[in-house]
Amino acid sequence: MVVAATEASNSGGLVDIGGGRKIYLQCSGVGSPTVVLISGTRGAHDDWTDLMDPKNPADGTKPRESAVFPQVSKVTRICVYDRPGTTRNDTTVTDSTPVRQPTTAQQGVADLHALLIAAKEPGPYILVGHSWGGLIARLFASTYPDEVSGLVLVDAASEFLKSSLTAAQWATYIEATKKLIESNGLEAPEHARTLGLLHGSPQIPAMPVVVLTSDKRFDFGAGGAETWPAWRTAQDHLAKVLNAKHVSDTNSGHAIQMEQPQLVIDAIREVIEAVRSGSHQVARNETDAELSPIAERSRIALEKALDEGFTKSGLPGVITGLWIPSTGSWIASRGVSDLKTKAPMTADLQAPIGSITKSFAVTIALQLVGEGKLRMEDTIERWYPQIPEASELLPKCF
Amino acid sequence: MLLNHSSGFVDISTLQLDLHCADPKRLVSPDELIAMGIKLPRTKFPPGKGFLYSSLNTIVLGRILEKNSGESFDELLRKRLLKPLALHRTKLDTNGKLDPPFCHGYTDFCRNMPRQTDTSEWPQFSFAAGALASTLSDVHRWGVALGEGFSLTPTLRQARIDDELGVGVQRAGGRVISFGHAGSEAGYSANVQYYPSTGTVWALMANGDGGTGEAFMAVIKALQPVVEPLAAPSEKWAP
Repeated sequence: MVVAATEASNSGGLVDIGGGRKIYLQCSGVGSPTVVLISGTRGAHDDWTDLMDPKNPADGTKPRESAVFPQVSKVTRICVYDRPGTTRNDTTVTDSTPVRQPTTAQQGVADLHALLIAAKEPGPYILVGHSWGGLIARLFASTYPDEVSGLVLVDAASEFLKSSLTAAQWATYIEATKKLIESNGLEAPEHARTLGLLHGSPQIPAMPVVVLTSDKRFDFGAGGAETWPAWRTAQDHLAKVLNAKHVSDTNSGHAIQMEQPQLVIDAIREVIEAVRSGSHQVARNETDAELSPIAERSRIALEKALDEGFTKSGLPGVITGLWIPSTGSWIASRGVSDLKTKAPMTADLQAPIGSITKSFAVTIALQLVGEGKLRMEDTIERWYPQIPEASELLPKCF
Repeated sequence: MLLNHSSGFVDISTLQLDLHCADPKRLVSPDELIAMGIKLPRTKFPPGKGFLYSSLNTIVLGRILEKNSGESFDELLRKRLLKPLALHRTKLDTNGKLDPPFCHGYTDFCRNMPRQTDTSEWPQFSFAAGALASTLSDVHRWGVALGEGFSLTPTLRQARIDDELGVGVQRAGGRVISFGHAGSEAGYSANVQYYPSTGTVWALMANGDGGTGEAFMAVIKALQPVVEPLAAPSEKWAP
C-alpha cells in the first residue's frame, strides 16, 4: 500500500494550502531526506525537469531524463513546485493561485511550509534554491532549523551583494527588481524588504551546504555585465559564512541547473550523503581542502622538532597545525587530551584559548571605530569615572 | 595609538590565578575584576606614555564596547565575528561548560592542589581578555581572518600591525615576520601566528601549563626554527 501511495503522489497536481489557495506540486522517488527544489524569480517547476537540446536550441526545452528532478528521484524523495506568478519555459503561467505582488522571501517560506504540510511531505528536507529561491531556502532553514538538514545554493541571491556592489550599483539593482512589479500578477520579489527581514533572522545551524556559482558573466541588473565580479565576491562571502563547499568552476551562466545539470545533481548527492552519514559539512572549507600534505622532507623535520619540544615540555598533550598556501599543510599531535581515557588530541576538540580572545575584542573595537561608532578621542571618564586618571585615559590605551 | 596596553594598569595575571586557586568554582564578573584591579597601584608612566601588558586593559575595553553599543560582548562576538566567519565551535565560555568533544586541561599552577589538576570545568572569568574556547580548526580560520584583516578598513588593518593593536608582532630587520597572539589559562595554552609574506597560519593548542607556562614555550621554541623558513622564507620578505 505504501508503494501505491507513493505512486499516487508522484503525479503532479494542485495542492490546497488553505485560504482559498492552491499550489502546483510534483514529487517523485522514495527515501529521506526529501529534496525540495526552489526556482528563481518567476521560474516554475520545469526549471528542474526540462532541458534544452544543445543540438537543437530552437526546439526549446523539453522534459529530459538527464535533468535534476528525474536524476535525484532515483536516490531519494524529491519535490518541485510553482510559486504564484511563475511561468513555465513556454511562457505559460502557472496554475498556482495568484497572490498580490510584490512578494518577499518570508512569504515564500510561509507558502512552502504550508504546501509541504498540506501535501504530507515530511522533513527533514534538503533545500535547493536557485537565485531568488536561494534566499527562500536560507530563510526557511533559519525559520525551521529542525526541519532542514542540508542546503544547495545555485547561484543564489544574497545580502552580500549589497556590500560587494557600490551604493549606486546597489540602487540600480533594487530599481531593476522594482521594474518587475506589473499589474499582471507575475512574481515580483521585493529584495530590499526581504534583506531587511533576513538581517534579523536566527543563524542557520551547522549543516552540509554546497554553493554553486556561475563563471560566465551575466547582467543581473546592477548596471551591466561589468558589475558581475561583485556577484562572484558575494558568492565567496556566502560560501564562507555557511562553511559551504564552494563549486565555482562551473562553465555555466546563471541557470546552472539548466546549463550544467550534472553539477547540481552531484552537489545534491553529496549533501544527501553527508546528511545520511550524520556529518555537519560536505567537505572541509576551501583553505583546508586546497592544501595537500606538506612535502615529505619538511614533514620529517617538523615531526622531529615536535618530538623534541613535546618531550622537553612535559605537557599532557599538544596539537599543532601549519597551513602554507600553495605549499601544503601539516597537522600533528602528541600526547593525550584526557589523562583518564588516553584519548588523542584532535583538531575538533574545544579548549580555552585564553588571551587569543584579545585579538577578537580589539578587532570588534576596530570595526566600531571604522564604522564611526566608537570614538578614540573620548576619555574613559564617560564610562569609568571611578578609575584613577580616567579623564586622561582614552579608549586607545587599552 | 589604539588599544595597545598603555593605560598603566598593572598586570592582573597573579590576581586571577590566586582567585582560581582559592576557589576554582568561583565566577568573578568583569566588573568585580575591574573593581579589584583598579585598586592595585598604577604603574609609574602617565596614560598613553608607556607599555605594560595587562588583561585588565582588555576587560575594561570589553565593558566599554558593551556600554557603547548596548549589546553584550557575547552578542557582539557572535554577530560580528563568530557567525560571519563560521567559527561554529568557538564561544565565550563563562560557566566552565565546554561543548563536547572537548579537551581536558591540567594545571600545575596551584600549590594547594595536586599536580595535573583537571581544569576543564573551571569557569573562565577573563571576559574580553581571555574567555573564548575554540578548536584548532577554528583557530586556523581565525588566523586567516586576522591575517587578511577581515572586516577592517585598509588603514585600520595596517594600524593593527604597526601599533600592535590586540596582536603581538614579530619583526626581523624591520620586516614583519608574523603577527598573532598567545593564550594561557590554568591548564591550557594556545598560540596563533599569521605570516604575511606567504599567508601561512601556524596554530598550537596544549592542555597543560607546567606550573610556569614555560612548558608550552618548549614546544614553540623547538618548532619555530623549522616553521619560519617555510612560512616566511627570506627571499620573500627581502626588499
